[in-house]
Amino acid sequence: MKSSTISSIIIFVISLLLAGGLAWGLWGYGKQNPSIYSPMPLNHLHNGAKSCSDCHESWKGISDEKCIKCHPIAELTDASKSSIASIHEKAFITKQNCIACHTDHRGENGKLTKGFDHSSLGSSANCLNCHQTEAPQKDFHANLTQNCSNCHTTDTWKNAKFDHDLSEFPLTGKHMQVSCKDCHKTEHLTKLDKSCLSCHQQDDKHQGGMGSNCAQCHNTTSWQNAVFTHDKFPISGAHSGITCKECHPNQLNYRNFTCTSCHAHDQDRMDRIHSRKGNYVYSSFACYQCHPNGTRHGGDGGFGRGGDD
Amino acid sequence: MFISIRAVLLASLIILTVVGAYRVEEHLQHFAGTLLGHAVGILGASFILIIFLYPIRKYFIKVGSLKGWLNWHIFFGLTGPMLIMIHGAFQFHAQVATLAFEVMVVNVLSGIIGFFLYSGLIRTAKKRMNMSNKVGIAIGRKEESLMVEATSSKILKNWKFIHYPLAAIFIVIMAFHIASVLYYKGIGI
Repeated sequence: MKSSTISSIIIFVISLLLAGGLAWGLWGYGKQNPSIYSPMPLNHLHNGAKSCSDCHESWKGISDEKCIKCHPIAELTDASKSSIASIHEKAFITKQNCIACHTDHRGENGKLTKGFDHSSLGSSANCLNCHQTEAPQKDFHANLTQNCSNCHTTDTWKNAKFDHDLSEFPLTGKHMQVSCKDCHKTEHLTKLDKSCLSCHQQDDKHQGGMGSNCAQCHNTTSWQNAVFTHDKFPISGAHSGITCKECHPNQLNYRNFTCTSCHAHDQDRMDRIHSRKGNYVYSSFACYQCHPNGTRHGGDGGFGRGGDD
Repeated sequence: MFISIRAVLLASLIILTVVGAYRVEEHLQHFAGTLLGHAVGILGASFILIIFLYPIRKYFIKVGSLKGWLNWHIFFGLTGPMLIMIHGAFQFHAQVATLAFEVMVVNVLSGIIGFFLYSGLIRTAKKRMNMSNKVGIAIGRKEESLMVEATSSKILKNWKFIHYPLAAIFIVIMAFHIASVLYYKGIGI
């Protein structure tokens, strides 16, 4: 006998032995642990099932008789016990199999229905009667009181259309042009911090110097053409016509200003005059606190605030 | 290094299948259990069964050209698993089905390695045959004797010790997977 024939026979014998051994092992193990054939765990509502045969009939699949043993028709069609009693009633009349609408083995919180015709529900149906387990319990969805159909269709949960005007942050200007994911980075639409700087920190040319409420001067259409009202120190008289940087030399922080660049006040003299003032500091900001109109004795000077010198 | 158009096409097809299988589950959840999923699975399994006609032809029933049978063996050995890949859509939940998929992939890879080994050996055998210039052998016979010479080499003999048992293991696990589906979901799926 040729050596190639002998090796072929050996390989066949080895293969057959392996195949036979594996089949024998799988058969035995599968009998003890039928879950090795299960596509996914059962929904937790079916945790009471003791064995596969509670629902499955050998070579026949799921039988309605087995479903009804645990879910009596009387209960399924009783409106006080089932929110979709009328649908069940219709299904029993038309002799539909349970598995025409129901399924399982889709995970512990998996769906129990499939391919359901929602048009039979009518317009007054409450989505959460059936979709309670699917409704996201956190983030954006957690506080929703709206009906799911305001945003979703019955075809798919995805591609929802959300009317942002219903939210606490209606979209205007450039905000209308960005995609949802530009702001809502996570898969679940989280409720975001509404402050401008929560998204526009890197856009803040003032580096925090003008506070965090950009909307005081800017609008959502453009960063340009900001409108700033100099209401805390209205510009009038001799101040009219001077440039911003003459009083605000640090243009990164417009909160800082100086009066002494034009209005010379010798520090030694000022220190001497104010030697009895408890909170005296030689700074333009401190000067302004007590002399808002620039006069020696303070007073509102027509600026709407008083000084007490 | 020479890369044939066939190899590029094959690689593209495999990549497309892998990407397609990923996308399938995205759009059709639990695809394997749907009617279309079953159809793809049955077709893939049928292709895989056709693969076993080659060893039958090689060792038992000598009908037709062995090279032609090998070509079909390779064709179905690639397209069958591709269909199974789409059927499974990379959803590894059922342990038996997952195991069948894993063994199938290893077996296909061993088949691809065997193909390259075989191609190299055939080239060498052809050169040797041209040099010895054996005349009077019919083309078909020459081809078959080349194949016999190539497959009798030590390296391919050793390769068979991996590929054949893997094939046997795979067919058993696949049979268990199919039987379990029929047993639990019913024959009339």
